[in-house]
Amino acid sequence: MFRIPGPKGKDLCDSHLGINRRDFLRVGGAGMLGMTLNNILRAQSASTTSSFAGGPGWGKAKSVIMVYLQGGPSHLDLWDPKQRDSVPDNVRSEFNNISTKIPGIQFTDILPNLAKVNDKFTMIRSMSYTPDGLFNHTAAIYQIMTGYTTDKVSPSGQLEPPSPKDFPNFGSNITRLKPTDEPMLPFVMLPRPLQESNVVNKGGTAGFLGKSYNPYYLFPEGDDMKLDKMDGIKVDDLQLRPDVFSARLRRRANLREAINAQMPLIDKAVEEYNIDEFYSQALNLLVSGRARDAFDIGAESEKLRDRYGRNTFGQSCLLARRLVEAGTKVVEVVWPKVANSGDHSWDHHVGLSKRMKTQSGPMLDQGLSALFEDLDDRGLLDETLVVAIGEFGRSPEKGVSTSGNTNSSDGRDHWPYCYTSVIGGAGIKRGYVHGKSDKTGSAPTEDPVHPTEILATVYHAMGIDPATIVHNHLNQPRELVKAERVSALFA
Amino acid sequence: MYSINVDSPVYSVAYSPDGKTVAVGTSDGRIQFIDAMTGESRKTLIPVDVTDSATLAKAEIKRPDNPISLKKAKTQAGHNNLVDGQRLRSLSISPASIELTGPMTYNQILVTGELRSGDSIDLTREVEWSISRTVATVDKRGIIRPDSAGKATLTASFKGKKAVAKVSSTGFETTYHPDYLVDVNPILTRLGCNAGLCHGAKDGKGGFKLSLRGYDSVYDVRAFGDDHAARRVNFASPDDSLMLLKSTGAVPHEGGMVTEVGSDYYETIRKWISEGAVLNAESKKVSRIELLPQNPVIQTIGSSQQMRIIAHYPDGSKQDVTQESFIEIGNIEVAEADDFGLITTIRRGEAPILARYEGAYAATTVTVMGDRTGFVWKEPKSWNEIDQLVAAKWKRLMISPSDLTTDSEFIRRIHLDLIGLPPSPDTVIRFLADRRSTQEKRAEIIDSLIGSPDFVDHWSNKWADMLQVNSKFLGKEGSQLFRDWIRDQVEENKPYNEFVYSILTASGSNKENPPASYYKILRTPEELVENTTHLFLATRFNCNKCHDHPFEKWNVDNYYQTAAFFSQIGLERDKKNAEKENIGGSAVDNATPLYELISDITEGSVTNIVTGEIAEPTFPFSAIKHTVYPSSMGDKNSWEPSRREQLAAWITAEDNQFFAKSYANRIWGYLTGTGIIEPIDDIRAGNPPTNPELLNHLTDFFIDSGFNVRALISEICNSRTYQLSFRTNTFNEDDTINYSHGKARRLPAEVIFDAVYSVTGATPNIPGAKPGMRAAQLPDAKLDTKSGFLATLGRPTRESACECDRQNDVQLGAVMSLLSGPSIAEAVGDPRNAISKLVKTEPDDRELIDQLYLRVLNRKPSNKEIEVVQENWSLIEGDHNTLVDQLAEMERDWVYRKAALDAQRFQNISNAQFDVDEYMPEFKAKKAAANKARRNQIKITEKSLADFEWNSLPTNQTAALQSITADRLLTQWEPLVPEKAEATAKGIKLTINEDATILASGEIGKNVDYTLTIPIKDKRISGFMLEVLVDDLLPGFGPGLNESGNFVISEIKIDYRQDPEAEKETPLKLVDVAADYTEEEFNATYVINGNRDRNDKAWAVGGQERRPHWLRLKLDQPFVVDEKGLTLTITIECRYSDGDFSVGKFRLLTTGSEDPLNLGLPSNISAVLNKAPDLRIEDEVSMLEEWYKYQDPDYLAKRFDWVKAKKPLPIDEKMELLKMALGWAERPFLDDPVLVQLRSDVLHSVQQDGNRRLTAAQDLAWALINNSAFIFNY
Repeated sequence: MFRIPGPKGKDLCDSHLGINRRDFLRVGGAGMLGMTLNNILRAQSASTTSSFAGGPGWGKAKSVIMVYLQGGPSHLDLWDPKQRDSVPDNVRSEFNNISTKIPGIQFTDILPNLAKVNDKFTMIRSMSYTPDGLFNHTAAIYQIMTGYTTDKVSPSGQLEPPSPKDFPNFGSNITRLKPTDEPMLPFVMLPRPLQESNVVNKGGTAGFLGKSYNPYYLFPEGDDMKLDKMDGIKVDDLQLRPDVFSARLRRRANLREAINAQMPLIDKAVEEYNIDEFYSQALNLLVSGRARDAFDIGAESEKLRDRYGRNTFGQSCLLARRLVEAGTKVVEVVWPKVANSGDHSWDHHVGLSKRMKTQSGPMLDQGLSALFEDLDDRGLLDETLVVAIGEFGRSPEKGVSTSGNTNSSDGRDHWPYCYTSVIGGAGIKRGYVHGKSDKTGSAPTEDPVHPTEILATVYHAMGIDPATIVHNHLNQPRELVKAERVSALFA
Repeated sequence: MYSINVDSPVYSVAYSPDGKTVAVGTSDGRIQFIDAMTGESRKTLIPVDVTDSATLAKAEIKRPDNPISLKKAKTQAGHNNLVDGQRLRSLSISPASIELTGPMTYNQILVTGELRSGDSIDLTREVEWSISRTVATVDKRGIIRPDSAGKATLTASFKGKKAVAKVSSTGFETTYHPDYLVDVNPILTRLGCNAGLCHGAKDGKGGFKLSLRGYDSVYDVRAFGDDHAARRVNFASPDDSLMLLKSTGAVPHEGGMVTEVGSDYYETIRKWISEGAVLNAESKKVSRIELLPQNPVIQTIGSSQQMRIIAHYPDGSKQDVTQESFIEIGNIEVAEADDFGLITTIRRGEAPILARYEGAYAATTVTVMGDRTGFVWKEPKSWNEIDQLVAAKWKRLMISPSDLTTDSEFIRRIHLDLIGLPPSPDTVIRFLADRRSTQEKRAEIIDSLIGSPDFVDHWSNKWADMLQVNSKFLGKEGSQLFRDWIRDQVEENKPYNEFVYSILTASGSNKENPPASYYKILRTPEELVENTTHLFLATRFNCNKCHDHPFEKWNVDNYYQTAAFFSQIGLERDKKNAEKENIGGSAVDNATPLYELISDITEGSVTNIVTGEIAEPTFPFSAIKHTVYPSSMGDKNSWEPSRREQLAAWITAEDNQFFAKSYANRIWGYLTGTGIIEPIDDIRAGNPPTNPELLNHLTDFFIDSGFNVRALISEICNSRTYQLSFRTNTFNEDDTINYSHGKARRLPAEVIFDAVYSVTGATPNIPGAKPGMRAAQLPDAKLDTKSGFLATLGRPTRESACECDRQNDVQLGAVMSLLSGPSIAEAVGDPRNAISKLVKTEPDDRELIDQLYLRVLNRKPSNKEIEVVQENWSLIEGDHNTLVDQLAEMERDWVYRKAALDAQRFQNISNAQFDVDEYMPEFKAKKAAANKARRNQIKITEKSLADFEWNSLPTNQTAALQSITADRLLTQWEPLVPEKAEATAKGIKLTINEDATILASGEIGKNVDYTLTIPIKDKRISGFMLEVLVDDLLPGFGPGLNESGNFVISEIKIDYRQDPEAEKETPLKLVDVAADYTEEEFNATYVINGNRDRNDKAWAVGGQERRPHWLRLKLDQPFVVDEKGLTLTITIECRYSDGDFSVGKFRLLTTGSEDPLNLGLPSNISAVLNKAPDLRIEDEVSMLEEWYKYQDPDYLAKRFDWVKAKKPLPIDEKMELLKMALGWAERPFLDDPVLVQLRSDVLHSVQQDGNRRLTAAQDLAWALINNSAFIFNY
């Protein structure tokens, strides 16, 4: 099914047509009176979704945590292992298979902890897409983050740096369509930007929605692999200035209001800007210290901090939980290593066995399993959607080139045609495997899922119709994502 | 092989079981049996009865009950347009003579009632209809459709009044042949099939694509007729055409059911299919459409008005097309239209109505008057023609303007608008004290501001935005130069047409002639045509790049023909000013030279992507009154203008319908907050001016003044209209577009910043700019405060010329910056600012408040306001005392909590220490055992190595040396001793040994290039050899630098430089590569493939690590170096994915020998080998032995075992972790952050309490700045 939202005959380039803010000024009847911007946006999302709202899982998620495994982890060496004797030598994983909480489902021994909690989430073993041309990291990352691909791709699959014309990151769309009522940052990205080589943060911005919908970037300084990198969080901008402490700021705010009250005509002349509401939000955010406190991972017990793993990834997962708890709508945890770098990255063209076994594997296993467990223990998993996904999987055959990269006999190349993602929480089936890959993990044999369908599923879970129209910088109408949710994932 | 023609699209093919016959089913309903051997048609069969197309074509069209689905129409059955109190004078009917020319035609009738008040109302849906003969039927909406041929009289009656029209119905005697362009495409457009979100989308929908709104009928008819196995049209059985099955929902259609079987639309399409689904390219295209009634005025909110659209064709014929047209309302807060041209009003106001039909469009404006009870028109004063033109509209729309703004509001408004800074307190006081007439003293202020240095900065900044002065495109210096040039033009008040002409025709280096930067920033004809039309004509040429503009007259031809004027521009490096420096560049785009030379060239063209043909430069409309062009033309006869000059002349022509108008509109929009056309850079037929007379006046004024921008600004500011108050009255409070009152506008980012620093008297210090430089003076949009204040407040990024790039809205980020951001805080808190001084010099609190209001809001406070402030100030002491009490209490509490925490910490330490102690014995034992094992292993391997050296090596050597063939001794290889060896990766160091070998040490993980500098002279070189070698010092024994011993060499380059001063190196051509061993897929030939990419293929030796290897390179021709000598630069690149594979030890050798160049031995070795064994001296023998050792694989394996055994023991991970845990436990815990915060608060509070007046003054300044009265101009 596809749908044709919007009135007939209204389409491209007609900047003044389609659904815009003005339409919603009329929703309340006489205009802006009594309607805050938030109300309008809410009305906007409601009215564009009315006919397709509902269905399993609709609106179950209050927040989303995207654990983004940039680099592209090998599905065959993690969560879709094959039987050792049924695959050719150059396909076989170096790791042993272990059984998991779900009978008949095996992981490799890289994921002993996740194997103990996979009754809490769904594994999609049929992620699949065929890139247009030679896709490399950034182009694929951009697709997952925005739902769209760009025309401008270098021969090796790299993109231009971020531009104000980019499609928005899904988190920006969510925070625009489902604004938060809490005095809390709606969208946080941590602990480092999306990156391939020198293309930094492509797909990680609000693009044409405008900077106000950008995530709050929490990128502490220092090397990604420094174990205590996350202890170096600085949130000066959320901090009160020492000379304007909270008592003084409150007094100032009161003075501001008292002065305003003496100028009712000016207030009336600017009422459409909703200034007072923004001031009260900003004051709340600063004075309540909620955001500041959420970033204080030192407040967690040492034991729990250990459980998540004393490394950048583990502590980022823990922060994600704290943020969601404090009211953040979208947290994006980006794997703390440049997509195409060595060592702890997932881009295992060479040295896969050692690097996965001693570096990236244990970090992922510990951090992600702790996140699922901790969220569930706190009852947060039912309202928090957690997605762990990379831009692609890795080639079943080792030592062959699929992307123009060279690969050693202990290395696998990029493989978008079949890989695994993990999704859980917010009404997603527990302990379920969706889709199947073939004997060598080369192609899905059942229920292929495109990364954009994952995005559609995220929107759906947040109560947003994936076909909701947003207008780009040229005021052209664009669907949030041109894909359907995967209904079978919801219980 | 043979081919046969079966005349119709093939639906199915099958072989008979015996393989002799092929059966072919075709779209005409026939099955043909074809002999598989000969290809001859044996027989043809029609399996079911089908109507042949001739019969079909003759068949009468069914008269449908419900001609089209009116589900979406609001028939307004219950609504009365005639409301109580209105009295009807007469009725009229339009058209008075109704001509129905065929069974499928119709007319939308309009019945209008004239009221006694002189107003008119639409009564079409309320009248009773009667017709003298039943030749036609009228429906509820006043649509008349023919039933049979004949003439009749149609009467509409209402409340005793009547109106009559003649009806003539014809066209029933001839057969109806629907035409694709005239009849079918309008239906497809109407049903939404080819809309942008359906099949008209860039990639179509559901596998079916049509051109957007049917602009390419050839493509569309082919899509219907040929694609998808021609199933979309079925001539044999039209009802089974997918095109009809889908649109009626008979088979699943994702777009839903859009028409019904039997409807006019269905029948028209069906008939067209049955007649062969052809496209008649000759058929008439609509020439224009007419939208009726023009400029309707509707008195009552909620009333409706039916519109009527008539299409006119080139042959003079016309047709009512209301049902197939689209009507859109430009302001949907005022009125809405249903899908069939019925407009319903929602609230008072004006709204443009735009109708379109098949690429033609027409517009008019509807006015909704609403209740104006009590309105009395009083002619307002008029100061110039602007006021008269604005007032004429107020009168028409019954609007009462506001009063003139007060002097203190005016002085602030005019300063912010003209110079981007608030007035100083002195200026305000002087102005308020001026006793001259309002108009006179205001005119004087306007005059004094226009042209002042601040004015020049402010308006230069505006142009720097529009011209994208951005270091991203121009570099730092280039931006500054361009900005300076703009400033010069603004300062000199260069006539606007000359300004634009000089930009568009600028040539030469963008360093020496900065306006040429325009062409450095915008680099392609496409970018240039879109930006230029947008910036200087306020028209948008982006939609019509790929398809005719769906809503405007611009078509694809216009786009490319205009772009063609930009197709012959040369861009080359300005070598004088930028020999090597480049700027920009990304993974997708190449970097460009820092400075470039822009020139006109004679080659280059643009290709129309729709037609595939080269576009000839042609203007989209005519403009001939060039004012700039002739003067620069010199000798008219001999001078041939370049394409750019022609274009610039056309753009800046006086009679260019958009040039002067768009800028007049912009200036008006900047100064009043609302363009007469809004958005101010979007002139379109569908976006008509709200006051065309006013816009025309401003345009004429601007042209007559000689494109004098300052004169235009002065004319506008001196109008009474500009000076109206923002305070509204009952009869103008809902007006937003007629300038009946001032409008509150959020100040631009730079103006807020500059105003804050100006009113607080602090000095701005923007990183990268000179201290004191104001935001309006910054040359580059990249320069910003550390916290990004300007960007957050919506300053444009200068990446497009769109006015929308600047955001003057209010959102959370902006408010956070104002409320707690460092820029404002630093200005307010600066101890050297004017607030501090004021506090010191002004002892009276009320005076202090007075002064602060005057500084920040440019007015004096009322008594009440002073009281409010004083009340707040009196709270400081209480706040302070509360804090002090809180702190005392918390400190007491903390003593206890701290004790508990201390105990906990102690416990944690002792636990962790216990873990360490507990593990210690095991750790020590493990360590001792490991040490022992290590020593033992060293001993074993040492012995084994010595034994081997003693026993086996000599035998091996003898055998090996004997097997060295003579050819290996032919080529003489001499080691090359580098003067310098450098690695590009920081962590890697290269050491040159005496034997010319080079040893690398350090960390791997980064791609590295090794560069060797080698001086040579007096030599003939025919080839090079690279030895990669093992070494005890390498972590994996080599030849690679890593643990595995493997390496990857992706490229080898050899260049020479004749003269050390010469800046360019010349490459030597390497032609032939050979290696003693290569890993599979890692062929040695890849090292000279010229590809320097990280992902390029390379040479590696996996499988034979820890042994020496050789690579030989041959030159395409021998290279002879004379005694003067030269310098060789040899680059060895190890670029491989993760950078782990740098070479560890290597040596370069060279030869001058003739072909064949063998993988030979170093000359000192071959010299010895050339001697008979008994002639060799002792040194030679031992040299040979030493050399051979490192060739023997068994020896190397044993040696590696020994090297490995000697490695230091690995650290014990468990012990490390336990120690780390102990470290954590030992960390002193910090005081409760809340307490720490409180302590700091109290510390500051004490200070502030001690200087209460400064604290209070700062608080007030902050509160006034964080106030709508400050961040808006009103």
